[in-house]
Amino acid sequence: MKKKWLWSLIVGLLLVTMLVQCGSPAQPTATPAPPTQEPSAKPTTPPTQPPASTQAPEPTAAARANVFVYAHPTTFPDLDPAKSYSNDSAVLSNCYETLTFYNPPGSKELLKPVLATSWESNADATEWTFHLRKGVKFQDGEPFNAAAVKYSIEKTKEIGVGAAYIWDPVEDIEVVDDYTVKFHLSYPAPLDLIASSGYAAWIYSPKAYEEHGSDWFNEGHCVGTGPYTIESYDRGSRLVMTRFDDYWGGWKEGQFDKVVFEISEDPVVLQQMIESGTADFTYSLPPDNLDALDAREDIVVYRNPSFQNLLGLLNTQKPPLDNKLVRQALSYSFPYKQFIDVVMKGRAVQSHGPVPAGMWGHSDELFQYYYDLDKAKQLLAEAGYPNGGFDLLYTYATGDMDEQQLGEVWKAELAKLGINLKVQGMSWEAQWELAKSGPEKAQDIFVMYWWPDYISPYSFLYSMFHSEDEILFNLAYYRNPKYDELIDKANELSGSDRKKAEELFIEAQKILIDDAVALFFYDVQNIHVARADIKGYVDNPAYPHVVFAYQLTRAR
Amino acid sequence: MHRWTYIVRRLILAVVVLLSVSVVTFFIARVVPSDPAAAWVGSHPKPDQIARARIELGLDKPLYVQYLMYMNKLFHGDLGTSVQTHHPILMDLKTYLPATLELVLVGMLMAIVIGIPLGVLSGAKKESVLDHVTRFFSVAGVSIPTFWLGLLLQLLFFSKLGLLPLNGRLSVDTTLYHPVTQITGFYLVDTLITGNWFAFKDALLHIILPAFTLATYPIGLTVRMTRTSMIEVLNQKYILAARVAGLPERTVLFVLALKNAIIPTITVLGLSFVYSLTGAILVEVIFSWPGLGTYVTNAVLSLDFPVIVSVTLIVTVFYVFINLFLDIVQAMLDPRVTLQ
Repeated sequence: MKKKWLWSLIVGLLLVTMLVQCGSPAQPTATPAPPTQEPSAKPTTPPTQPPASTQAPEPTAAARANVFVYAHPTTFPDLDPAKSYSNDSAVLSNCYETLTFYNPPGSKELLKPVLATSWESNADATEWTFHLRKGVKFQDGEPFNAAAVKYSIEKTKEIGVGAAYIWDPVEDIEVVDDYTVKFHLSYPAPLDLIASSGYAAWIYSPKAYEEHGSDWFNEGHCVGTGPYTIESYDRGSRLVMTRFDDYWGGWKEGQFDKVVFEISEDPVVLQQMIESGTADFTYSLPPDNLDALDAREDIVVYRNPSFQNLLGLLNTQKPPLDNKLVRQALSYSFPYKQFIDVVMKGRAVQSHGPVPAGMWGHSDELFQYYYDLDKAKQLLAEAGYPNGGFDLLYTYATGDMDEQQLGEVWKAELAKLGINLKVQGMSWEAQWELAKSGPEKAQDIFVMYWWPDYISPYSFLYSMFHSEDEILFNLAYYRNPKYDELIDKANELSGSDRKKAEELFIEAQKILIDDAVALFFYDVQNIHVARADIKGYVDNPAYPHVVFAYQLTRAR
Repeated sequence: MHRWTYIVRRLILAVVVLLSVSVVTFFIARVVPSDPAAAWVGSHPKPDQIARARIELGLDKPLYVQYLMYMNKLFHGDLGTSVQTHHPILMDLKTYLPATLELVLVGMLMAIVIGIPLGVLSGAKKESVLDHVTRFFSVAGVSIPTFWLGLLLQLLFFSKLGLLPLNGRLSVDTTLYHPVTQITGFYLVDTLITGNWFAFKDALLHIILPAFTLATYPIGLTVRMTRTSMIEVLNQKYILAARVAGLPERTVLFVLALKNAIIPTITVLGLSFVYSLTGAILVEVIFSWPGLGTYVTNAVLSLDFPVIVSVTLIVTVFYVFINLFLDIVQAMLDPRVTLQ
């Protein structure tokens, strides 16, 4: 009798839920309210009809056939093409294009023409001429031409945040004619590679940028030459892109009309979305669940190399790690294979030096240290530490489980050599501040990830190992004039003689490996999860986590 | 007269609290080892970029000058610019704040609609089965961690029963075919105003789970508070008189007794409103609700101090003003309060 109250409450709640669920079929005829922000390009999108079914909130397969849904694990911090240097590229790469494009590993050519159809440089790579594609329009109807290229790059340089520094060598941009643009550089540089960068190299409509300014782009607008443009944006929640009908590449049957980015920062939610089919593509799922997902017929797990790797930079200025033999001993003390198999469960492969596999300048021939405690002991004895007997401070960014576990595993191994590893988690900022305070006060081992801005070994070899007067990212505090000379020379040549440059880069890496400046733990694997009916996906580590929706179709 | 001096005194105190909070958060944010200039520039900054940003952001000036500059902007309605995203914080808040408020208000509504009647009945029928069950659930409500409950509810209502959506504020179809015209930022209100029923229904379905998850704590608290004060009030003589006079039990409980028993409950509700504003952080992450929680989580992770300070200030403003409002209401109801 008394329980009735509770039960009627519960039943009542359930009923309300179901009632709302079923809804009244008469209502949906109410005409859709116009979207708040009209994309600047008149969207002559195919008339969007309200979905046929009125009952289920779950979209029917038919209604969704032409919509690609990307469940994205992060928000989009900055949608301004001049400034963006983050996960926004997932969106921006579908709207903006670059002069050149870095092909996925395994392709015959390194670069593919996009907005430039061909390019050449003078003998010492200080003058670059790009011939532009004709008949290309921006999404606001403005023509794409040499003036637009000059404007975009100069504007990005002028604002100067994000990866804008990739254009540092550019001294002057000359508009030769409408479809020819010439770059004058102050020092030799591979401008064709720079122009393919996934950050800071986008060409955007000068008119739109002048008229509206940065904040307008962040309100959810984009004006590029690419296949899709932003239709609506609910900040932090959802971004919808729609076809740009006048895209120069043209449209074929079966390509997606719309691309939807669903933002959710919870890996469990992302997994539920891909399992239930409410999303077509995602990444950043709980690693332990990947095998179970892979076993399903309606889901595919893609594992590809990324251009990101994890290194442990050794403090080469402070005893005992200023001794090369001790550094080599450390390099032999880490169980690379076991760690990758057991902890990383195949989410990584052991590195060959600092340049990740798949990138030009990488070589599989380079020496890999391996787990051998006897060898480590012997080297320590040679260095005068037969029983270890010293402490080392290992700092990592708090919150990164992999870096933390790596430290724990290594600590156990080093204990066998009589070395006490102090594993210290810090916020990235604090970790970096400590490292920048100078080699004497700083940590002994700094673990961090590195990834390139534009695709060149120089990004890795210069940023982390070139001598620095003011410490920035050379957190091994390494100084080697011979090495510096080699990579600087290689970088100069990388515009004019890429083959020779590659040889020099590999030679330089041999020096680093022999000097055991760092532990090259592993290259991270990119893992993406997609519905099996999505066809045409190719991962490109040069543009991390970007899905070029233009290339995709849904199997019927 | 007393009442007005009391209110003025409380207002002055509120301003003092707000100013101190702004000082404390501002200086803590700056003392934490971080380099906003490097964050402003991006993940692989160059030294000259950082130097330029430092001047641009005014970080080369002494700390107290920076604070004064910040407060000056604040009084002109400018909350500053996010270091990480480079956009004006006000622009972000325009979408994030209404989303959170909508969630919290619906949660509070649930707390009132579910919590008060349950509290009344459980207080009236002390030691009955209903009372025991209610007490069990109210204790559970205040002690269950929200992240666990949220996941459980998702598993049950989305994965198993398929009754409610998993996350977000709207389904993809609504965004594509029945877009919501933003007026207030409260989707339930906006869709009603524009008569967009499809979207209204969708928004309602989407808010049930996160709002309920958020409401469990206030519900539990409301039940317990109402129950305790009901028991107290029901022992008083005027209730006995009403019963003797033969008034229906419903009137006795929900009109005569509740009127006196509800005052402490209102205070608790006011406080749990503010609690929910911060409690929403976890719930929002689980349900991908694009509100203050999601926003401030990202800000904290990247030490985006202008955002952290702004959100802290906003929560403080709510806290201070709701407290002030409650104090005033209490003073109206019980003039003795002003004498202290």
